[in-house]
Parts: sequence; structure tokens; C-alpha cells
Amino acid sequence: MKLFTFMNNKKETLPDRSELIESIIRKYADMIYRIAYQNTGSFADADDILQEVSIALITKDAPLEDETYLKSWLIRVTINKCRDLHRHLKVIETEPLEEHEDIPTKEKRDIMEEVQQLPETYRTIIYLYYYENYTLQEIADTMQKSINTVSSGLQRARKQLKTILTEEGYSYG
Amino acid sequence: MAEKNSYTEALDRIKAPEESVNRAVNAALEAEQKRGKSHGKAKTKSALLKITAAAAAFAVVTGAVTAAVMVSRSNKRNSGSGQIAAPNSFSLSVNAAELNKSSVNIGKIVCGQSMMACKGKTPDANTDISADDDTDNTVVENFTMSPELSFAVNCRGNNIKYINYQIEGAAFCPMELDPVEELSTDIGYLNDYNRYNRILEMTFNKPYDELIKEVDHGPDSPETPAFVYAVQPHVYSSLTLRYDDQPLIHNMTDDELFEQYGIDGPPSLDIITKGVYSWDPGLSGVSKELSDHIIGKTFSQLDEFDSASPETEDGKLKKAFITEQIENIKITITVTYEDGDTDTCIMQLSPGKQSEDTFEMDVNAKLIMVKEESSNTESDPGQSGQAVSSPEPTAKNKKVD
Repeated sequence: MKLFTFMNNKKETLPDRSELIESIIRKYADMIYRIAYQNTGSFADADDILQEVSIALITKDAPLEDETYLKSWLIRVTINKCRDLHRHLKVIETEPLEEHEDIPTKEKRDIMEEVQQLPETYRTIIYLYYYENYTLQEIADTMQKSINTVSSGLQRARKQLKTILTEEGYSYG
Repeated sequence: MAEKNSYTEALDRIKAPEESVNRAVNAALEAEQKRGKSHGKAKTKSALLKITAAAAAFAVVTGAVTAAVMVSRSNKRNSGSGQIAAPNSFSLSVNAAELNKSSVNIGKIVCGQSMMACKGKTPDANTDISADDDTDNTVVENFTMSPELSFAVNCRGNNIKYINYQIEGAAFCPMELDPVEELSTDIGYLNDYNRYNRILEMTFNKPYDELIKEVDHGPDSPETPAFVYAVQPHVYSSLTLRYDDQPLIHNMTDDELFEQYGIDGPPSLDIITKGVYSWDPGLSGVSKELSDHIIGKTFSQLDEFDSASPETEDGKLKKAFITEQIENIKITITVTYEDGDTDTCIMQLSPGKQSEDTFEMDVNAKLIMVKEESSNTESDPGQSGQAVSSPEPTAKNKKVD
């Protein structure tokens, strides 16, 4: 789909582009929301960040034409939005997890709380490695860091998470 | 999907509520509509490029208008006199090396003196602390380090009206007590000198330590020194240099220009840099790992840490800290030309060759994005020329907010 013809002929391509934008947001909303929640510890903030990232899709010239890059772009923008929020608020007020019906059990709450205690970089690495199943190289590309930094970060993060994961009988590696 | 564990299962259960997604879609579509309406109007970036109160400072040097990283417009415009004007262009280079997608050494970073805070101690006292002091019973409550970063990059170009530097991952602090006053002279110099030679050089040096003097509460103050909080009002992450209001200077030699502004040569504007992970108390200027390692130690133990050699555990922690700091720093350079067009480059810093027996390491930089925008895309699509040399703008290196 040739998206940016809109720049020269908006009347013809506006509907396509709008549909594409909506489909992108719906497809990646959960991912954005998860990253935002993991980084902020607040569903309300995750909600705000989802909206901000969605707007950034338009205002920041997201690479809509390439899904692989788009996903990395969305991850980075989401992380940056979380960072901005953190800088502004200094102290993040954590919304009690019990208020969110999707995380009902104590052990799920514990692991998320444990992850949220990690430094921001580690949280992102853990998320991309475990949840998105990214390779170290893919994580390095996405985070624009060296693979050595990612590798050492993963090791440190795993060290901190190892106890809780193994105690629950899960494999963590 | 990755192997299941309690972490991935917990994440699986986190889903964006439908109403949130709908709001996000509506917000995006609204932004899209606004963008469509505003498209066609000439882009005026000046509103986005106002000089921040008083930011960091930069120096100007001489040069011509060529470089491999140059972004040059394909559209050559006719000037009023009928001559073809030079195309808009902008490039970055370091000494003879041209900045591109490959890492180039642009300077160095040295692990600076660590600073600490405890109740009842003034900043001056803290910076002078040593194992000889009777402070073994006093533990460190706040700790920062001060990597000293110095590098220089030349910015060259034609028809430049504004240059904006947006720094991410680091804070740059003017050293002067009154940075506004100091910078007014320096920026005036920059304006004139840029008109004269059209090259801009960014120079960063000076350690963080010296800024402590600015925030000294006084020897009798009972207040716990809080370096970061005190420094924050003087920390800037963005700078715009404006060139449009200055008269053109012709036939002026360098010496005359220096004399006019009361300086001996191109001003090395004092800027310090302090990488930050967050502005949380106790963590500013250090990684959490390093902070955890230091907080609670006695001053004499900290003295041992300060004097540790690079191969020790403490030394490795320091090196890891510097590496992480450097990797966090990105500088977005946006040039606005006289005709309203803009070019943007993002420069990513990274650690380079490390000394084995000191805490000094090279700082490399590469361009991770070159992007240009045209103010006249709709009226004349042919004017949205591409960069004439690598790196080509790609989807991957598009600017990330």
C-alpha cells in the first residue's frame, strides 16, 4: 500500500490511510499498553501513553510502510513516552493491581511488581526477550544499544528475576 | 511467542481496554485530519525553534560546504539577481572524518570524581573528603559521579537560518553563574561568525564537579547537600541558535571578530555533561547498580572506591557506568533553512576504545538518522529532494519521538 501518496493527493488516499492507522493501533494497542504498564505501574498512565503513541503515529512520521520497523518504532516511542512521564512526575503513583480485573492472582501480581522494580532498560530488555521473543541482536537494534549492553543487561535482569521465577517452578531461560 | 512463564502469563493478561483503544484511534484520526487540513501551508518551524532560556553553548569555526554526510537539496533556487543560489545543505564532520553511519571517534570521556552527600556536610566538604578525615561513622546517603565528556563536531551548511540541538540521555549544564549573560555574547559571536564562515562547531568539556560551587548552601547550612536538585534549574537539554537577526559581516578577519567579542579565539563555551538515568534522589548521575553499591558505605570506604584501579570490581563498575552513560546520549540536530525547509540528523554517541589502566575511553558517534522535510511538497513535489549521500533516510532510522 502506498501510504504517502496522501501527501500529494489527500482526497484519494485519506480513507485508506485512516483505515491503516486504525488497524495499526488496534493491532499494537495491547503491546503498547503492556509496555506502558510495565514501565509506569499504572493502568491510567498506560491508557494515556497509548493515546500519545497513537497520536505520534501521525505527528512523528511513523514508518507505516514497513511493519517490522513500525513495531520497533512503536516500542521505542512507547518507552520514550514512559520515560518522559517518569521525568515529569518524578514519583509514579502506582495503581493497585487488584483494581484491574485482568490480573487476578497474587503470583501474577508479584512477578509484575518484581519486574517493575528493575531499571527501565532491564525492563525493556526482559520484555522484548521473554515476551516478544526477540533475539539479543533484535533487542539491540530496537533499543539502539550495543549487543554487549543488551547481553549484560539481560544477565543482570535475569539474576534479579531468577529467584522468583524458579521458585514458581518456571523456566526463565 | 516466548516460552511461557509467570512473567509472560502475567503480560498476556494485560490488554488495553476497548474504550482506551477507541479513544486512541479517535485521537490519532483527529490528528490525521488536522494534519491534512494544515498540509499545504508553508511549514514554519521557527515557533518550534525558539531559543530556550539560556542553553548550552557552542562555538563556530571556518570551512567550506562539502562533506560526505551532507544533505543537499536537489532544488536550486534562483536568487533575486538571477543567479542560481547555493542549495540548502547541512553536514556534520569531526576533524577530517565525516560523520556517517559508521562510528567515528569524536572525543573522549573520563570518569570524574565521585561526589557524595551526607547530613551536615557541605558540598565543599564532601568533595574534599578522604580516608584521613574522621568520618568513618558517617555513611554516604547520596552519591553521584561526574564523567567528564569532551568532544567536538563541525556543522557546515548553506542557507542555514536556525540550528536546534536536542539532547537526550544527558543533561548539559552551562558552567557560568549567569549562563544567560555569558551565552548572549557567545551566541552573538556565533551569529556573526556563522555569517562569515558558515561552520558551526559544538564543543563540550569541563567536569561536573565545578558546578558544585554554585550550589553550595554555605558551611553553616544544616541542609543536606542535594546537588542534583540544586543543579536542575541550570540544566538544559535543548539549544537553538538563530542566525537570521544578525547583520552580515564582510571582509572581517578572524582576529577582528574575536576582538569584537573580547575573546582570544573561537570560544570554547563551557559545557558540562552529566548522564542521567533519572532524576530520582540518590540515583542521579549513577546507575542503580552503582548507587546500591555505594550508598551506606563510610567515607573511608568510598575513598577506596575512588582510588580503585580499573581491573578491580569497583573499577569495572565505574567503567560499566561510563559505558551506559555514553550509550544513552543522542543528539538531534535540526537545521531550518532560510526558505523554511528543514533537515534533521540524529547523532548517537557510543563508547570506543578503552584504556586498560585508566578510566578514560574514546567517545564515538554515528548518524542514526538523516531526514529532510520540504515546505513546498504539495506545490512542487520535485523539490522534496533526497539526501545526496549516505545515510539514506530509511524507515528504520526515522526519527523516534
